[in-house]
Formats: sequence, structure tokens, C-alpha cells
Amino acid sequence: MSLNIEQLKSDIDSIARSLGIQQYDVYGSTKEESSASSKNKKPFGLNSSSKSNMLIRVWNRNHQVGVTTTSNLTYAGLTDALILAHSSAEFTSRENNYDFSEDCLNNSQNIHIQQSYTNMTSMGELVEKTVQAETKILENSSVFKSVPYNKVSESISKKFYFNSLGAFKSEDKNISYCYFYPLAQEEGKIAREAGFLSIVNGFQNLNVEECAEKAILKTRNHLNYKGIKSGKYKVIFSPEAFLDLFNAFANFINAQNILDKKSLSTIETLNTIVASPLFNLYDSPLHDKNPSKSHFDEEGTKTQNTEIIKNGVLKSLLHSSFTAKKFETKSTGNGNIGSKTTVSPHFLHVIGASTHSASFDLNNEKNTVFIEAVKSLHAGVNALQGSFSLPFDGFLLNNGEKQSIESATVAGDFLTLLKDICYVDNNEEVTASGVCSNVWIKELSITGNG
Amino acid sequence: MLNNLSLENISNAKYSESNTIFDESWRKPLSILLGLGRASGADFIEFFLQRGNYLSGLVENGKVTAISPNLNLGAGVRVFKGKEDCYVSTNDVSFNGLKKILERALDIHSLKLESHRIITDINLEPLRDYGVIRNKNNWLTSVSSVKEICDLLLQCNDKQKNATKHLQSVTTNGFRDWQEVLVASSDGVFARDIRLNQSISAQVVCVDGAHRTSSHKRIGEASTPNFFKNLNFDDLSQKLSEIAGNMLHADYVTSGNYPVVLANQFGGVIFHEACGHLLETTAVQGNSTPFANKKGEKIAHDNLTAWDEGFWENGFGSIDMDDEGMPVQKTLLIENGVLRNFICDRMGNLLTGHPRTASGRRQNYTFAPASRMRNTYIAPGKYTTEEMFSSIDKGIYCKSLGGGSVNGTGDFNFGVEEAWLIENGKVTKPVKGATLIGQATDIMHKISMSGNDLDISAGFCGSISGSIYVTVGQPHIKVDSITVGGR
Repeated sequence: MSLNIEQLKSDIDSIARSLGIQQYDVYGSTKEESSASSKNKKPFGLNSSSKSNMLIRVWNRNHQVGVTTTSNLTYAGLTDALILAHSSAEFTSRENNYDFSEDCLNNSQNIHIQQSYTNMTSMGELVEKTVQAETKILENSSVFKSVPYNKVSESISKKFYFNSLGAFKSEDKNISYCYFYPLAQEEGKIAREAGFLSIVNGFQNLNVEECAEKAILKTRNHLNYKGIKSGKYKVIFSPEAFLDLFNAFANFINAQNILDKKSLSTIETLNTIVASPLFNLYDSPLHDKNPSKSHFDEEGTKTQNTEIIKNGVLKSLLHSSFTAKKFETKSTGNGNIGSKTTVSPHFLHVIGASTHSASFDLNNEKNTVFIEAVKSLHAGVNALQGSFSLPFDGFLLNNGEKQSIESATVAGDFLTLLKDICYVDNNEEVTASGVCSNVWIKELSITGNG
Repeated sequence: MLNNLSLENISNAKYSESNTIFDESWRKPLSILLGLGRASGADFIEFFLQRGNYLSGLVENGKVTAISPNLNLGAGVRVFKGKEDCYVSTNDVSFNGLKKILERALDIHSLKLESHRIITDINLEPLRDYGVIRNKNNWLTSVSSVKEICDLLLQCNDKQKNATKHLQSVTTNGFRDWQEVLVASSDGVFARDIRLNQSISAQVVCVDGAHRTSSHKRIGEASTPNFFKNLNFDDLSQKLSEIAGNMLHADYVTSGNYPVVLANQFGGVIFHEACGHLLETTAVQGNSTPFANKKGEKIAHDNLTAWDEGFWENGFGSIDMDDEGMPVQKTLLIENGVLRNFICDRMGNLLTGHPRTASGRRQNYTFAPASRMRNTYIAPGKYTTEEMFSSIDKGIYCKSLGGGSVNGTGDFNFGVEEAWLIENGKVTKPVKGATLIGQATDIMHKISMSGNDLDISAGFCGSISGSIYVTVGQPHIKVDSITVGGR
């Protein structure tokens, strides 16, 4: 990668001293990425980029913080950024007294996580794999009309943090992903769409062909569809669907959202029952299945495995160094640097009850809705009200039979849903946002056209 | 023409292009690079350079909690060989930086930079500079300062706090996004534009015992640096307080199929999601729209006419040229229910044959352009809202909508922020938690009444070429039947 971070550190230090700035820190990344798509069995949308950007925080004499993000990393660009950050500081509230993470007060905890890269995969190989996969889908059956959304991508990047006290951390990442979303239509019926996404560490671990095969299978499963009658149903969320829904309401475990009074929780919610006793939740940034492991957050704080919900009780919130001070606890390494430091989960891990129950078996369910994927989260979720009403892809399960559902929505209240969890099975799957199993919910409202 | 210029000469030449503005000084290096690319075997090449200066402010519960400036600078090159294209981008806009991405793009097409031939630079047209033509060059220095924006956001936050009952939290957010772009392509296009999008939004969270509601409203413009100076927050504030007050104690809607009346302004998101995206040639190319072969055919109710305009005074999606350098135009999409035109960019024209409509847009230089909407709206009709309500025995009035989406099958959906029951021709009580879902080919024939009160609203649209600023709009409309998801 072309960015010389040592030179960058030296430039920023020199500029800061010339401007009389005594305290600053920087979080940034440099990334090279290539991707290819395929359309009608030909290469399409080939893309390659090399980009670096960073966020600089500067403290003024009153300990107010100003920031600038910039992708102009020339000496002149860095100078502009530092000047702008410094001049913005006076406008921010003095109550937001951000400071360095406790892990970054000197150079004693400097770490550099490196990966042994080979060179980036050639565009020719990306193209070949993408076109072959699209062709495989289209030639599987005449019902497959197109694969409008498809991509194979590889990126290598380095994220870094350094500050005026000598703390310096960096971490290499090598992420590859592919997705295929075919459109299929049988004669006289409406078009159906489903797909599969795979994210791995290292291009050599990406099985593009297998991804295409799973996309074929998932889409085929929806060809035989039927409307569903509106009403209340027992619902099972797939691992992907449950984590997508949970993440939409993650304000409920977010210490910054609680401080802002924009959370479904309050400070008093800690150590109370918030979910079924069968439900356990962790944030596991270093999980061995996480393709994007992070050893430190954007403030430079070491990440950790955080027990959030244990047997249905809210045991911990996710914290930045700022919220940790306010709550008189330690940061959990979930800080996102900015003019206002925010908090977010890294990689959620849902664990259910330790014993398997024969009464909860996908093959024995009657009149139960299985939700494979929820859609339109940006429109159908009111995160601060706790309610959701979302279209979904799914099936009606009846004694081992799976009937794809045509065009329906699922609605409910998120906090009620957590308490209505009646089972979490052992079939763990890795998704883009974490590891989870199938989650059974007592009852939710389904609106359909059956 | 530069005679006998080899690659070594070019590498060693000095180009004094301006570091602070994309002006005439960029002609020489770009025309040489374009010539190099064509000499190397590319059929078409386009450079897109961008400089950005963005500032946002956030006030929460009476305090400024974030000021977030962002500076960016970068470029991308798009190279076509036949009907195949590739796109390479970088932060490095020096001559060597641009040559490097050109080399990479040529390599993707298995082409190599020519080193021994005589290189002819491309003859670019006179710079078409909208910064000069539309007097926009002083916009960055004329906009409100950080202090002015902070003071305004604090005032608005205070106003909203005083106007809203059962308030738990109030947030006001404002941003200005200034961009300078330069397009130079091997067909001679050489054009520069200045864009300035500014917006303010407010969000309230209200709690009364077990009842909670959250509401949000935004206004925005792209046609003047004086947006914040001329801002009248009262209307937005009043609407937001009304929504919050109405929805706080509302019952949840009962799901079912209903006739609905959709309000004007952001109600236009229905057309944006249910139809607009499916008229983009990106969807036609991918065979992921039910309207692909329907030009000239009836795809909607007789009462429906719809436009996509490049420039609308005060429109949040307004631009003077698209991101491929084409001057904007007004595009008739649907006329009395008949599909007249698709929304088409350069690639769309190449692959589908439909005429370009100056619709090539992108979030920034890291994206290749794609066919996208600008200011899109349903044209006004003849009906009043009273006529629409009185035509309905039992239905829903969707007074304020949230966002939505559509997929390749034409299935669309969007959230409703504020809804009311219509009973026996009258608007009666508020209901919450509604989602509208449907099928594009079906819904367009069910828009049976179009009102006489067209109005527009600012919005953001996310798609293959990133998040862009758009306008949605419509008059009040009646949809004869739609599925309403709820409890």
C-alpha cells in the first residue's frame, strides 16, 4: 500500500507544533480494493481503487475538541485539516470532555497486527470467477432470467491510530466477499429474488462457486410461493434475519444512546430482565469466525469479548472511553472516533440455552413462519419507538413442508420480542454481522395477501 | 498537437495545474492523458476530478455536540473498450497520480500505455464552466460560517423544544456540502460545475408513560448559498410537533388492504421507489425491471404523468450538468399512463440504445456514475383532497412518509410516519406502525386521482453509485388499494 504512515505521523507532528497544537490524535485507514461484476455472462462494472483517509482530533487550550476528516493527505491538505479542526473546537460543548483512551497515554501498549499478504488477486481472476458464477446460475435453469446484483471483491487495508503522546497502533486486514442475487421467474408467475453473501478473510478462502450454488438453492426455494393469511403466528428468525433486526435496535445496548436519551433503555435498565432467560448475547470482535477482527477500536482502546445479556439479564452496555467515564466503568473498546464519539457493536454472538429441546424442531413446526431475511430496515423500523413493520422473505412451515410466502410483512415491538423468545437452537451460522442460530418467537403479526 | 512526444517526455514534463481550482490549467495534462489512453487502444476515456468541503453541525438538547468538517480530493478514470468499462479511482490528483490510474484501467482491459508512438492529445472543447455561467464561484465563501450555523441550530433546537409536549430529546442537525467537479472525456467534453447542497433537520423523541414516539423532518436546497441565512424554521417545527403530538398516543394500525390517500411533498417517495428506480437504465441493462420493454406502452393509470427534472429552482436534487458533463434537461417519464422515456446515462445509452437524459450521477469520485434520479415528481391533476377523502369509506391517509426501497422483482415498500384513518369520507383518528407494500406493475394502475397541490421535498437516494441528493414530489394522490402492514 502506498501511504507512508511514518511520514504521515512526522508531517502531522511537525504541522501541529508549528500551529501550537499540543494535543491531537488521528484515526485513519489506507485501502486498495478491486471488484468485478458480471452482466449477461460478460464482465461489467470493473472497479479498482486506492484510497486513504483519516480523522484528526485536535484539543484547544480549553480542552474542547475539534475534528476534520480528510482524504487530502498532502502537506498542504494536512495543514488545512489541522487548522480547520482547531478552529472548530471552540464551538463544541465543554461538557463533551473527550480525552485519550486509557490505553493510549504513552507508547507502552503500541501494537501492530500484520498479515502476510501476497499481492492482490489480479482483476483477470476476479472477472473469471464472477463470470463463471453468473454463467453457472443462468445455465442452471431457464427460470433464472438474470443476476442483477452480483459482485466479487477483494480489499487489503491498514487501519491506524496515533496521538501526540506517542501511542501508535496499526492493524492489517484482508477482506474478500462475493454476493449473487438471481432473479427467477416461472411461466405465468411473478418474479422471485433471493441471494447469498459470503465474507471471508483472505481471497484464497472465498469460495465463489459455492456462493453461487447457495444463491441458486435459495432462489429456487422461493419459486413455489403462495400468499399467507394475515394474523398472529409463531415466528422463527434465521440467524441473518435476527441479527439484522437486533442491529436495527442496537441503541438499546449502547451507552452513548442512553446518555443522549435516544435509547429504548435507560441507566436503570442495567441488571434487569430484558429478554427471555434462554437468550445470551456477546460482542466478540476477536471471534475466530469474524473475517474483520479488530484488536483496537477507533480510540485505540483494546477490544474485548463483552457479555451483554446473560440469561435474559442486561449485564453490560457497550462503551467508549467517554461513556465509560460517565458510567464509572471501563471502556469495552466499542468507540468510534469523531466530533462526537459514538458507540457500536463489532461482531455479535447470540448463544441460546445449553440443552436441546425436541419440541423445537424446524421439521416439526405447524403453521409457523420462518423468516429467512428481513428487508427495508431503513424504512420499516422506528428504533426510538421500538416498533417494526418489515417486508420479509420466508416460508410457512407445516409438518416438514416449506411453502415460500409471497409478499408479506412482519410487525411487532422489539422489547416484547426479546421477552417472547421461546428457543434458540444450536445451528450456529456466521453472518456479516455476527454468529447466531435460529431464534423462535412466541408470536408476531404477519400481514399477507392470502 | 504535441509532436514526437514519447512517454519519457511526458513523465518529465512539468504541468502547473492549479492546486486550488479546477480551471483551464488542467486542460493540457488531461488532454495529454486522454490522448495517451486512446493511443493505447481504449475506445473512450473519461476523467472525473472532485474537490469537496463539507461541514455539519449537531445540536442535542440545547448543546452543540458535534461539528464535523470533511475535506476531500480525488479523481477517477473510466475506460471503455467496446461495451465493457472499468473504473479506477485515487486520492492522488497529480499528473503522475492520474497517469497511474489510467495505466491501471488500461491494464484491466489488457492494454498497455503507448511508449514509442507519436502521441496526439485530445482536442477538448472550450471549458464549459457553470461556476462562471451560473455565478457560483463565490458560493463557498458566501455560505454561513461555522458560528452562524451553530447559532442557528441552537435557536432551532430551542424553538423545537418549546413547541413540543412530552419531549424527551430534541436534535437539530444541519449540513452544507460544497463540491467542485471537473469532467474531461475523449469525445471532447471539458466541463466544470460547483454544487452546494444544504439542509437542516430536526428529530424529537416524546414519551408519556408507556407511550413513545419519534418523528423527524428535513428541508434542503441546492440553488443558493443563503439557505441558512434565509431559513424559516417555523413551518418545519410546527409540522414536527404536530406529528409527534398526533402519534404519541395513537393506536397501532390494523393490517389489511385499503384505499389510501398519500400526502404531497415526501409522499412522492412512492413514485421514486415504486417506479422511478425501475425506469433507470441500470435496471434495464440488468433485466431487473418489469418495464424494460414497455416504452410506448401503458404502464400506469390514465391520470398519471411524471417527470424527472435536472434543474428545479430550490430542488435538492438540482444540478447544472450531470457527472458525465452533459447539460441537464427535463425528462418526461410517463404521460397519461404511457411510458415515454427511461432515465439514461452514457452506459445505459451504450447498452440499451435509449437516449441519454443527463442522468449520470455519483456520490463522489470513488464511484463510477450510474443512471439516477434528480428531481422526480408526479405532475398535478385536477382533484382536491376533499374529493379524494369523500371517495373512501374506509381507508388510510398517509400524511407523512418515511423512506422505502424496491428490489429487482418490482416489490416495493415504505414506512409511514404519520397516518390517519379515513372513515365514511372523513379523516378521523391517528394510527401508527404502518408499512405500505406492493408491486410496481400493479400499483401504477391504481393511482386513480391526482390532486392539484404539487409540492416537493428533499431526500437522499442510495444505489449502485452511492448516496446522492434528490427531490421527491407529488400532489396528494389516491391509490385505490394497497397492502398496509401493521399489527
